[in-house]
Amino acid sequence: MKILEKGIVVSNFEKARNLHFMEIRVPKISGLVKPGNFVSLLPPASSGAFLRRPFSVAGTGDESLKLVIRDIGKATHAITSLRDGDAIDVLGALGNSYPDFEPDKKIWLLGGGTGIASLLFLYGVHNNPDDRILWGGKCAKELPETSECTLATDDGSCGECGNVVEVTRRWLASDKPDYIVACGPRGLLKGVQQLASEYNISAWMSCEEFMACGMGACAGCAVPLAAGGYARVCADGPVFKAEEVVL
Amino acid sequence: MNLSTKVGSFALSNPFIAASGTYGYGTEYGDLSPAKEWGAVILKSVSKNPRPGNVPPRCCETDSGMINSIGLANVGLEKYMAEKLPAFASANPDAVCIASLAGETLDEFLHLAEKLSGNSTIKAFELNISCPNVAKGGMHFGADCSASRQLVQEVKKISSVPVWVKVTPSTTDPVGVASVCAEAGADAVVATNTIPAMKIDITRCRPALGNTFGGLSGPAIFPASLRIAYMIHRALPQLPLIGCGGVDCGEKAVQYILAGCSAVEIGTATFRRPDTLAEVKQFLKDYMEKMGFKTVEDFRGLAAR
Repeated sequence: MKILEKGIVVSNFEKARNLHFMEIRVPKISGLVKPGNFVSLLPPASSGAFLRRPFSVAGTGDESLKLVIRDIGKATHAITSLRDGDAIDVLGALGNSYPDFEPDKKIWLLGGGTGIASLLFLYGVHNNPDDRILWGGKCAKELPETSECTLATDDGSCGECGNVVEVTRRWLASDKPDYIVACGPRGLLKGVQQLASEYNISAWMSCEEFMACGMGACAGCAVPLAAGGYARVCADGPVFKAEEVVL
Repeated sequence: MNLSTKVGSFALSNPFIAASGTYGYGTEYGDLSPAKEWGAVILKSVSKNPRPGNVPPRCCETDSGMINSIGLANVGLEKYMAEKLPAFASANPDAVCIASLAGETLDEFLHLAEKLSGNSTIKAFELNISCPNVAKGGMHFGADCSASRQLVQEVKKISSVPVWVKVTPSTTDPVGVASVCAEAGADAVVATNTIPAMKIDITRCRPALGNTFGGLSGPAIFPASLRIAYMIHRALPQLPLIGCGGVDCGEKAVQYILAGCSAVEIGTATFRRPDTLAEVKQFLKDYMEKMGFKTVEDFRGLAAR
């Protein structure tokens, strides 16, 4: 079910350089979302941005949604400049969700940048102490302090040294999960696709593509399929089996 | 307030029509923008065979709009008739559904018209003559008066529903094309379609779209599209006309009606605000009340006299 709702910003913290953790009160939509779903926000008019912007949901609070948003352009700058009590137009819940993983299965959740959002949600819902969640970035400045994630940086300035794929490969030398889920830049997803195939691990990934409608109506956010043709990231995804999509 | 209108003899409960390509197969928006609330909805263009669509990226944002190069991605006629139309009819029993036909040859257009003519869900055809005409080296049907004339004449012969023609702005003489379509028997002309455009990604140093070029839509094209609608109405005042291009609020919709349009298509604006239709209808009611107009016909074309 998709609802258009006027959201109210509950909190907005810049937890790392240009990286905001926002909580928005949307009583109706917050009751609908599952890990993997996204919402689209209408950027404030002052931004000059025309289209809505999609964001994966990072969790739910008291009738609210948690989002992880990096300030990288006019739309995200306007959104991350909102203060507590400001209103924003929210559309959701959109897209599919991750499968309902069996509680006793061990999942590795591999995220890059703001791709961590849906993984944080899934990690909390799955709630298995054997799960591991890895969050990669270029350097320490890009990542926040966190107790639940293992951090990895390309330059080794915090957490493990190396990108997410490299760190995962090291982990695989002594351990193996039942499932992998991943979300992040294309390079990360391609690397995870390769690892999943090499180690014969079932993997899912949440894909990103520029979206116009976000509702499955326009076919603008196409991702090529291994079987031929395209899928719509907004409606057929954003979550796909790793081997389904061509990255 | 009576918002009903007529496009020729085709009656609509209100002047607003969901534009093809922006409203999917009529079920995607659900309660956010119910099909029955529109005067009519035009489904995604259908071609004889399934089309996967263009290489991504397929769309990008511009100032006051967006560019798309979807490439007429669609399920093809067989699945359209077997799955999409029944699903639409089942979900929207009270809605008015129009089929947008896309062919690369005259024969493809005729095949589509013939197969869909007897379908009870389809109440009218909109011919998408912005399609490349393979027989003419990919030149758009709509940029070629003789091809447009033949296309409309032939489709009219076999169609049991009204035939509308969506003219392209990619021609030096849109009035000439509209005139030819009218002579060939078109029941209405839709003015107009997206405007060819492009964007370059300065980080990748490449065109932003996988297909290089796309069609510009959204508020950016409104003044240019309105001009074409106005010119067509001035030249052909008896031709039923539908405005299309850049409407994102009631005020712009009213401008199309004042230019001579009996109905107005809305598309890209729904991406931004799925509740656009409700706002536009309310604006029209308020405007008519304020201005003392009892019907759409009372003020249609006033600015073009």
